[in-house]
Order: sequence, then C-alpha cells, then structure tokens
Amino acid sequence: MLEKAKVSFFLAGRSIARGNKGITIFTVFVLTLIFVQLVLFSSMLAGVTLKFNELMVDFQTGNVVLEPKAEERYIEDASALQKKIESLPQVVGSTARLKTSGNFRYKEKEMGGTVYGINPAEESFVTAIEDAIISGEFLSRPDRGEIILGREVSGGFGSLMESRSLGGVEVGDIVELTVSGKSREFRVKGIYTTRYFMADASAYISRADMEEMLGIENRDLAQEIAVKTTEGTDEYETRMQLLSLGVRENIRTWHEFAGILRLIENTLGLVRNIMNAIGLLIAFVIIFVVIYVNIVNKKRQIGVQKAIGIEQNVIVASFVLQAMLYAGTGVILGYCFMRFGLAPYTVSHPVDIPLGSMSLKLDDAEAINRAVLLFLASIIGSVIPAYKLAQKDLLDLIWGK
Amino acid sequence: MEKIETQMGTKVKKEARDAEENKIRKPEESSEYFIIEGIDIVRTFWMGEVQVRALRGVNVKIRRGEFVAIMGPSGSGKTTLLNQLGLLDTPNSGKIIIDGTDTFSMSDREKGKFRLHNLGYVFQDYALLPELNASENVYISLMMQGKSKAEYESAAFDILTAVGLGDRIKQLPSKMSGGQQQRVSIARALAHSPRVLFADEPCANLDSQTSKEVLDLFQKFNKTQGQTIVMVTHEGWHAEYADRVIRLKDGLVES
Repeated sequence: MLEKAKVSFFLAGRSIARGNKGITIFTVFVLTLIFVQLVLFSSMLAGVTLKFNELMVDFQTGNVVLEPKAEERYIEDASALQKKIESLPQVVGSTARLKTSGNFRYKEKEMGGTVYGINPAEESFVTAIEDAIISGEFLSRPDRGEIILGREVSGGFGSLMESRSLGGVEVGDIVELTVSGKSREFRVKGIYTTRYFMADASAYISRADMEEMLGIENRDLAQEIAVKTTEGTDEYETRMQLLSLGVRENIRTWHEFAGILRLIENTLGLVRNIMNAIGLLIAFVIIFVVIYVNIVNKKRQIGVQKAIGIEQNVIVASFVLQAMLYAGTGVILGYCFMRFGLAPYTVSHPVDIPLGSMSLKLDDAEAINRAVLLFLASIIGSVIPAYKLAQKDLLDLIWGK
Repeated sequence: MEKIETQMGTKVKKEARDAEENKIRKPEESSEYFIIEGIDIVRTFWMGEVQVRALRGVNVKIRRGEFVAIMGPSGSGKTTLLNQLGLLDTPNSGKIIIDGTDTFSMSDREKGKFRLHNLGYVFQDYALLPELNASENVYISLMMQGKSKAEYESAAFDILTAVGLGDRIKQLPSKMSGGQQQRVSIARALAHSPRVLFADEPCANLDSQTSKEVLDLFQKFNKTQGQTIVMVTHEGWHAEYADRVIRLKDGLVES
C-alpha cells in the first residue's frame, strides 16, 4: 500500500516538476481565481453585514436598549434608571427617548416616520447622529420648536426613496408634525444621513417638545433607553448585569433589532450559495478539462505504465494528486491574495456602497470551507477522466487509440 | 559491472544446472523445459464491419534461455503473437503458459502483477516516460515492487552501466539519441530480472550501427545471463542473432 502511494507521489511530482510548465501555471492561476471568487462574495457579504451592524449600533440602538415592562407604555423614573445603568463601568452613556410614529407635512407633501424626543446632550453620548448632520446643525438643549430630519424624510441629498419624501425640505423651512392627533409646526434645524435608510427615515425633536405633544410634561417618562457600552463589551453580559442591578424593564441587545438585516443577510447568503455552486461547477469543469487534456496527451504513457506493471489505481492516484496539488496551490495563493492583498487594501481604501464605505471581511472558517469544496471538486474532476482512460484497453492506450 | 557479471555468472550456472537436471529427469517436451507454451492461440479483431483473424490457432514453445526471433510479412500476426505471449493482450481462445503458470484465467490486475515481476518489454519507439530521467525510467517498476530506495537506485545504476549508460543516469529521454533511449528501454526491461524479455521490432527506428549495438546487448544478456528473449523483427540480419526463428504467415506458424 505504502509503495503504491510512493509511486503515485513520485509520478505526480515528476509530472509537475518536469511536465508542461504553461499548463501548470494556467491551471493554478485559474484555480486561484476560482478560490478568490468563492471567498470574495462571502467577504463582501461579511463586510456589508458588519457595516449594517455598525450603522445600527452607531445611529439607532446603541448596544443595549431598555423598553417598558410588558403591558406598560412608558418607562417611569427614567432619570433614576439611567443613573443606575450608568453605574456599570462599561457603560459610556445612555439616552432616554420618547419614540412615536408621526406624520410630516411640507407644502402639499405628507409622509409618515418615526419621531424621537431626545435630550441632545445624552444622545451624543450614545449615537453619532450629531456627526451625521449634512446640512444645518444638531439640536442643542434649550432648542424648542426645532426638528432634525433624516434625508429620507426631507428628500434631496441623494435620498433613496425620494418620491416618498417631503420632496426637498431645506434647513430653515417649516414642517408640520402631527403626533397623537396634535399638530405643530417645527423649523428644520438640520438634516442628517447615516446612509442607512431605516435610520434616515426618522426625525428628532427635543424631549420637552415631545412630552408636550404627548401630554406627559415633567413626568420623567421614556419609551426607550439606549445604552452605549465600551468597545468589545459583550452585550449579553451587560444585560445580565442590568438584571442583577434589579432592572425590571425589557432589556434587548441590538442583535434583536436586526431582524430586517438578518433578512437581507439571509437573502444575500442564498445568492452567495448559488454563486458558490456555480463557482464550484466551473472549478470542476476546468479541472476535468485540464486533467482530461493532460491524460489524453499521455495516453501512450499510461499504456506503457500499465504494460510494465504499474497498477491502474496508482496511475489514477498520480493524476488525482496532481489535481490536488494544483488546487492546494490555488487555494494558498488565493488565500494569500485575499488575506494580505485585497482585504487590507479595502480597509485602507474602502469601497463606496449605498450604505457607506465597506471593507472586505475575510472569514477563516468560510475560507477553509471553500478550500475543502474546491479540493473535493478537484478530486472528482480528476478521478473521473483519469479512471475512465486508465481503464481502457492496454493496447488501445499503447497505440494511442 | 563486476557485481552484475557475478550475478550473471551465478544465474547462468543455476540455469545450466536446471537445464541439465531437466535433461536428465525429463524429456525435452516436458512443460518445465519450456518457459513459454502457446497452445492453439486464436486472436481476431474487428476493423469496422470486417473481422480480421490475426492468429488462427498458433502453437509455439520457447525454451528457457532461448533467444527467439519472430518473423513474417506485414500482417502475418508477429506483433499480435508477441502481445499474446507477453500478456499485453488476451487471445480469443487458446492457452498461454509462462513458466508453468496458465495465464488464461488471470484477471487484468493479476496479469499486471505478473508482468511487473516476471516480464520485460522493449518497444519499437522506446516508450520511455518523458518526465523521468534514465535512472527513474529504469527503477519505476522496482519501486512498484516495493524495493527500498537504496536497492532500486543501485539496481538502476548497475543495469544502466551494463548497457553503457552509467554516465547518463540523470539524463532525460529528450536529451538522448534514439540508440541511447533504446538502451535505457532495455535496461528498464531487464532491471527486475524478468523471466522473459519481449522486444517488438526494437531496431525499427535505429540505424544499422545502433541496431547492431542493441542486438549485441540482447545477445550479451542472453549468453551471459541466460535471459530468455522473444523478439519480433522483419530484418533477416537481426534474426541471425537469435537461436531460432519462428516464421508466421497469415496468422499461422510456418516453421
């Protein structure tokens, strides 16, 4: 058994070392490209998902969100609860928000969206909305009667759903906001974009204005408290600590708000799997063709090998080993290209996508998975033609028939 | 070289002793006296719709240590007969007994194993593996037999030295002349000390001088080692090297 393996390795090694260099380089190059193609889409998807998650945490939920207890509308004693939350060392800040759906009106156009009543100073500790202002300014504590609109509400500034928006509101314009049946005019102080359409379809007013509109002035109520923790903190750990502090509110991590993101991720995942299957099929066909052409050219040699007593299995194994070596080299080159070339390049030169700047994120587990699949394709793609030809009649092979 | 000649001497003595014993104990017709017995070999091929009867019931017997030439006009079935005797092909009917082993019922795998250990081949166009150098071409079958690296490398060196290529063991076939390639081919065929060496027109692609060198080599191994050789040729002067000529005509033995 060992001597047979030795002969297979010997024949494969000599064939690669002394065979046609052009065929070897071409095959390895093609397999490298196939491997890159197989991991590229996964890396893009991982990069997009990461970006989605960052946007979600940075502009909407923070790391952890507290919501009213079951069957209650508001969190009571919000300030006291915030103090309790901020006693945890990993908490950077918290913001108590009033959140409701509202109707915006500007001239003849109307649209619905989420409206947040916030304390601007608190909000700046948790989200980066202030940094996302593209026109005008963010709210300040004493501001009353002023509103910050996302670009999907204001329209313009490259909004994705322009036709649904108010159609080009600018800073200084007056919009009418209706909340819980009460209408009031607000002056647009700023327009923001996170480039995340869900976050951009909202508006921010001061908490005092919102309390007034909801008729809950000076009652220290909130509809959600978003909590920002230091980088690298495990959100589930924070939730456990909050529970142990006696917090009875509903505590959710940002992951639980990522439902639509999961949907998008799953959809893209399906596309990725289809592309992977096509990539593997291409790999299989290329390996099959290369090995087949290689074998057809060596028909007589196979015949001679059989004639002098080299077993058929040994001959087939020598071709399979060659294909595996091609695939292995392709995988290593492809991985090095991704890990040390393309992925770091997109970190230093991010790719602009509608969501913002995206970098490739190469996942080693995914790369191993693709490498294994490529290996399997190379084994099957080489076994079939090698076995088929090696099985032919000895004299037909020797005579090159 | 000395080692080879010592081995050759021992082998020749043993063969001679065996032959002597056979003579004493058994008649010349004894199956043990013949290393190859082909009995009523029939081989037909289909070329499109036409059936070609290449061998029509050939009977041959080849003695141990004999150098036999197979001759005949084109299409007489020389190569077909060699392929049957060398187990490269399977006859439609008939028996081939090599050194007492009836090969008719052997599977392809068993035939392969039998060829590896017992038979050697020299082809018309050398049939060397182009990606292997002279030494590797020679020792590949020894590797397959499971010999150690030291064993097969030294055996390859010895036999290549014996055919006059001791200084070219690392040379690739593409860097060798036709005569040198054929000598490597002979070295490969003999490296594992086969019971029978089959050669199919081994000088067809060589000039007269090189052909002579190759045939001299055959004769040397036949005389010194007692190597049984079965050679197909169409040149009369090649056949002069042989102990006996089997003539074929229309798929039958003439003489």
